[in-house]
Amino acid sequence: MNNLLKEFTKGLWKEIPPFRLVLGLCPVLAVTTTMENGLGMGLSATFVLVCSNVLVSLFRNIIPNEVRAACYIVIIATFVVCVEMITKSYFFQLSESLGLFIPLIVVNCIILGRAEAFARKNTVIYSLADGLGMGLGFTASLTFLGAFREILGAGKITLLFGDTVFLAEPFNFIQQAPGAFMALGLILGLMNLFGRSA
Amino acid sequence: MDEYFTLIIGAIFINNILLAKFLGCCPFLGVSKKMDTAVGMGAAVVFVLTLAGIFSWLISRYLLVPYKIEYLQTLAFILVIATLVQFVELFLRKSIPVLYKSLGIFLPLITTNCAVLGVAIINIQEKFTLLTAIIFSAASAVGFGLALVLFAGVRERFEICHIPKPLEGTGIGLVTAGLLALSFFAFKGMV
Amino acid sequence: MAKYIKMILVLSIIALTSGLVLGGLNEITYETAQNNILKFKKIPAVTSIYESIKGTIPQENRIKVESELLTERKEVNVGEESPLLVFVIKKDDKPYAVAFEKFGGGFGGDLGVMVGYKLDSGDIAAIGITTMSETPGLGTLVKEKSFLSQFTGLSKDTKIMIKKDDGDIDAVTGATVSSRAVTQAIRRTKALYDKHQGTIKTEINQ
Repeated sequence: MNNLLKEFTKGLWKEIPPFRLVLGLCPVLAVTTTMENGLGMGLSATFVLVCSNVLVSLFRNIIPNEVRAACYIVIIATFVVCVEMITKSYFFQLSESLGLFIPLIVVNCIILGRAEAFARKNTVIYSLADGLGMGLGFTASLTFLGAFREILGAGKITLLFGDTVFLAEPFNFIQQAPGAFMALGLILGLMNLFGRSA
Repeated sequence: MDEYFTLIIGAIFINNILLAKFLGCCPFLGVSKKMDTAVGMGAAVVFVLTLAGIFSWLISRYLLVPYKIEYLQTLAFILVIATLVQFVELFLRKSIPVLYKSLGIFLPLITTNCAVLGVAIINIQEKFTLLTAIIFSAASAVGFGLALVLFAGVRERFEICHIPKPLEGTGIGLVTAGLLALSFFAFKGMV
Repeated sequence: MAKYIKMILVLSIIALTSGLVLGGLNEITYETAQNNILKFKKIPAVTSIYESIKGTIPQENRIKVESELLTERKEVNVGEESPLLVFVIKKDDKPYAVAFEKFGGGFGGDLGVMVGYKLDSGDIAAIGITTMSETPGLGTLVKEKSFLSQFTGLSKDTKIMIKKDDGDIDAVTGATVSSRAVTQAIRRTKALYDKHQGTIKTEINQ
């Protein structure tokens, strides 16, 4: 039980993507213009990650080594297309805001990375924990970054249930491209600063 | 002719695939530490991205749309890209082994480069003709390579200057990328 | 040999299962996804045309009007790649105007305009913008009533080009490209309507 918990929690801080585990950067920068987008993307990616980890682990003794990359890609892509269809039907606004980046989940290095590095060498339950932990960590990072950029950039956060105004004078630059890179870099720096002294 | 020119300038500078659209970041931070790897990766991406753009466009036009299976687009495209990269690897290993050696691990890495899949999808979304798609893909890849090379140039200087400890490595890399993106931001007024 | 067979077999089975799962899911979700596109992207423009003709709709009637517009839509074959989606706007329970969408080349991509034509006169009833990616604060102003109202009840003999291009339409200041795109889209609807109004009228009277 302890081991299981360890695998789950490592994705939540010690190896949190994308800050500690520098993978899956593309959606992070593009999607975190608002908190809601960050949250939506995080949950979608988590769904794909967990499902893919479970299936890859389930089939780990059946899939021949030589074709494993191709098999993983098909498995991951299948779940991504599922997410695409489900968002277009039931979460239309989200699919519009995330746009191109939903299909891009398929090349999110985190998912392929975990399949290759963990899921194919571990049992299903452990792979589930790993996927869930990493996914939730990723979601937390995305949501946090999204909130950060939205508060500074637009002066408010729009939740599912109304606006909350924080700043009067928005610092719009942060919501644009250069701001994304800088925000991520500075937050990473802060995390390192506190991580070391902790 | 005019619109192709605008498209090219747009793809390379104004809507730079990496600095404005955020596609292709992972290799961006990993590969740009030295100038020669950056140039190699840039060249490889130009090659693969353009070919991927062409093949995915053809697959969309002649397979996905006529049989009404557009929803399989993501799956089909990523398979096309993965297969393409495999073939390019084999081809280079046989015919230009020197290039193959110098690119090393970066070639298979192009499969997971968001830029390749991203541009392939954009070609379809924007309803480009085949010629426009080819030009857009090539131009985007050049933009990627340009950003990569510029970045590598700056990063090489980091070796000899003092960086605050928490920001070392990825942190300062990202902040620099931000500054680079800012400078490209200036191009917005061009067209 | 057995090794290769296993590789091909495993890969094929996975691919086949994937195809079946996705095909099945598509069957289930296709209708809803299509309706979403209509609901969120096209209907709002038709509703605004409806409002221009009949006045503002009170909040409690809105959903009823929108679902009516949705169900009353027709697909008319006008010799294009796919059938034209035509929305019917009724007055006193009789078809009064038809609205359909065409695109113009805007600043950030295609700009979609829904144009309503009065069935009796062929004049423009009103227009609504469906989708656009124009410059915020400049090109996006084409969505404002101040620009759109000039098209309400516009005579069919008007030169639908911006004044800069020798036409009769007032462009949005500083947004020439976006304004042009709107007029271009309207001209395309006009060409289509002039050519196919017979077919359209027959379709909706059935």
